[in-house]
Amino acid sequence: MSKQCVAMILAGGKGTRLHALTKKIAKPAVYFGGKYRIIDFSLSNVANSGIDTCGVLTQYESVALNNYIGNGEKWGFNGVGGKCIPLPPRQTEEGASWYNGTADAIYQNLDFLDEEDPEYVLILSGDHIYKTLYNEMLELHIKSGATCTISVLEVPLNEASRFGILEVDNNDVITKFVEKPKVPKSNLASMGVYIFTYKELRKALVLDAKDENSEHDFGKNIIPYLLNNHKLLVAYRFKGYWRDVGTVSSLHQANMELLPSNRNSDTIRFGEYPPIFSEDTHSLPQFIGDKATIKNSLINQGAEIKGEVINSVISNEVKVLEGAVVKNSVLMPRVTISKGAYVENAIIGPDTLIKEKEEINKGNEEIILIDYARSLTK
Amino acid sequence: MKNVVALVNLHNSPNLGILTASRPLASTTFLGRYTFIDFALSNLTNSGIDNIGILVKNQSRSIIKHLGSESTYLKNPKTGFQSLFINEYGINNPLFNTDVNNILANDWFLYDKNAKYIVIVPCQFVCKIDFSKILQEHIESNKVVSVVYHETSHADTRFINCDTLVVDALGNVQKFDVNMGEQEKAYISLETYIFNADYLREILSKIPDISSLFTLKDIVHFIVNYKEKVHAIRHSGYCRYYGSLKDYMDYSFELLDKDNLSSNLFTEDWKYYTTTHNSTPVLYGQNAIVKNSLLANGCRINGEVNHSILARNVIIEEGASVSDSIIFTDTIVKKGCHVKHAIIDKHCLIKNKEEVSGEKDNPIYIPQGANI
Repeated sequence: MSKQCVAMILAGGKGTRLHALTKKIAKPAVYFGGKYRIIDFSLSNVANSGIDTCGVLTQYESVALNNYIGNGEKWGFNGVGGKCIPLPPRQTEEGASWYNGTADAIYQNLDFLDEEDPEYVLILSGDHIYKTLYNEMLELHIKSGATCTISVLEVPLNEASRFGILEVDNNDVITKFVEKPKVPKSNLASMGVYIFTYKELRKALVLDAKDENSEHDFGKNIIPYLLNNHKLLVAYRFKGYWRDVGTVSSLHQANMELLPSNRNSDTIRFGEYPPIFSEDTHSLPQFIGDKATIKNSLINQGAEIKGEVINSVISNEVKVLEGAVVKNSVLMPRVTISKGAYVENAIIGPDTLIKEKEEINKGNEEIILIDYARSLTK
Repeated sequence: MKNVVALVNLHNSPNLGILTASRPLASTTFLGRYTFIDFALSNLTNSGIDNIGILVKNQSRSIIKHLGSESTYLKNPKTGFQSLFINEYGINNPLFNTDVNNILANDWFLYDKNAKYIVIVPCQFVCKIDFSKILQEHIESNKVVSVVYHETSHADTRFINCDTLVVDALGNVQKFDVNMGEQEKAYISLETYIFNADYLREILSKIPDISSLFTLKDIVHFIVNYKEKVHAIRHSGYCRYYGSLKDYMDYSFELLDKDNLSSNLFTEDWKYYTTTHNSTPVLYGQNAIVKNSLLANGCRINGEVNHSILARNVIIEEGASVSDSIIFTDTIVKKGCHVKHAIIDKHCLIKNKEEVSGEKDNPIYIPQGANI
């Protein structure tokens, strides 16, 4: 049976600017908000939109991510007719090759899409923090009869040169796409979320694959190709909270935005509809000791707090022992802050042990990253 | 262990008074995140037992709601099963609502010739039991039935009304008795039995001719007194019997002491599974003062919480306080309200009553959904 819409999540990137955090796992698998991983947001958005079939394109350190995705049960993709499949690169009769660009990743999985036979394909990146339902965007796409609808975010004009910028006419029909323009003429940034009419997408991908000069990238090649061939491309204006957490400081910042003192109407609320789903860790309830002080923080189950936690995000199975102080920091799962240690303005990667009385970044404003191997501290 | 079928026996669950008025002990909230049946089921799963029947006595609604999907507890729901055993005749005729009659009404699992051993476990004992070791000892004993017991030196205050047993030099049960709290030392029966399936089949076929009121406990006593040697298997480590509301309060708070939490009940390699609800991490506000407490996910705290256990999604507003209390899921304590020595059931709103306060040995209980 053909499906109306199938989602393809691009989750193959390393996220180089997250340094040690992505040494062993891909960026979409990085922890966020005490309980979640970055890809939970994309997958929950897809599930909440009523899309029951989802392929996740993985490449860099794909084992951990494939393992996390499993059968998609965490987001409810294990229901009747549903599926969620990790799609790492593979060997075929033609040989073996890596995904050579975002468009190539989809091209190499056209057989998966052909099997599902969807009318529309939602292609999105797996490394952004936001909550949405794609239904309205899909409706717009169907109503406008476009080949491709691109979700855009209004950004301040002076920051626009960091993004792929779309120029549109009065009806939000896209007239031009420029990747990171020096002198931006529009403030509409592409969020890397596309809905394509599958037949048209398929044609474009097959042609692109034959083009030896192409970088096989949606932004650089596919979108310009469609524009040059006078296809109808429409912008969908996304409103609300959206964060790219591609750097240590932006990841820290987005975590801090979850704290009670920073909450406002834009704050992402995991539990409210549409909810963000994640893994359950079979942890104990969190234990707060009799000498603990906790202010303005977010703490997940399994944590054990006996010291002081101020303005911080604490993940499962984290231990903050007696006399330890944690300020303005993000502690990822299974971190131990030993007695008397002091941590400030830091992201502490999973499984890291901070030793007794050790001082991390004390009095320093710049955000620092500490991982279990202490290999890269920035 | 494909040759083992385990039955979680809810027929002899004690009554925790008001707390278990509308739900059985099995699905009563425990430590903010669990219910009692989670411990029995997780022990079985962790021991590699994947064929599980639950002998439901009554109030099945609450059990069904709590259990959720089979994949919560079972390693493999295809090769194993988790099934509710309900005896409708028994529910309509309470006198005959025994575990034995429930098994007879749901005897399909006994026709499976692969089932060599039947394990019976109740859920009123909170402890960690590795059944793979228990089964091995049972098999090596060459007996047709074994019973698991716990050695305690606190029988004067704990395990009141539980069966005690006397063990002979060969490790067999000499006789059963009842713990009336007269002695400190005792061997307490955990009402956990291992039957050779063939023997259970045989004895079950004879039971209806003897008495329609026999319970599994009676059968084991009967075997010891008149039939066969029953092997006694020792359980060591943390174990508590939740026999009353006072036990519930006392032992819950006892576990608050982290040394107990990290005792051999909760170990790294022995997880306890429970149906999860996708709750968010706990939010602590600027005014939160939290000490010596256990909190489940989804709570939002901006007031004071001291020596308390909070279940999912409890909200303690600024200017509110909770101490020495157990608060169940989805309850809200509004500004200016102070809760002490209380058990507050699910979905309550404490808004107008400024002092909700009981005594240490006599906590006040606020029923589910109360708006005070």
